[in-house]
Amino acid sequence: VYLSLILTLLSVVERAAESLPKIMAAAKRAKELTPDQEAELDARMAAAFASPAWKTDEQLASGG
Amino acid sequence: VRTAIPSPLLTLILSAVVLLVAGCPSNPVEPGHSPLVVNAERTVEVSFEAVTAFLSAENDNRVLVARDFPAIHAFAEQTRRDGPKAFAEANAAVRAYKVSRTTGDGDVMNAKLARVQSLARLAREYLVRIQTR
Repeated sequence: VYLSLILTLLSVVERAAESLPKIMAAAKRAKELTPDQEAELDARMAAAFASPAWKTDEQLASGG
Repeated sequence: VRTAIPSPLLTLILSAVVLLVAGCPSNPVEPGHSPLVVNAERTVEVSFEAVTAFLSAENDNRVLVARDFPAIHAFAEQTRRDGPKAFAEANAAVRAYKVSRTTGDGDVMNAKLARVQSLARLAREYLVRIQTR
């Protein structure tokens, strides 16, 4: 049971830590995004939306 | 089991990470660039990363969260359904304002930003709550 709790906690910490560099980069940006940067952001978002983390239970169950 | 916080050290680490995610400082905007636009673009990106971090953690523990935190799982599922549209609309609104710089587009942009900020705020709250079961 405790192993499960610790693994859950580690997973949460890991996921939060993964996002930090991207958040810090966005927060430090002092200029408006260029069209290339906008396209890069769109691509990053599209990739995330297609990942399992952004899939609903139903989508995962249907293999979508 | 439901009230245990397994490790104070890990809790401290997580709290620090979440605080950083929630309130990292922003650099000043360079001359010639609109602070409104730069902050709007930062808001969309930071909110997106916060929501993605939450959904990734929830996905790693999907069965457990659905069983022990049904409200959090319901929020995750709703965000998976509505989030992509919310972020796409926020991006579109920022870009429309970037071109026009009109008050009308500014109002639309602020409304769309408020939506993604709200998602990010809840995502951060739930990220903390998952680890304090």
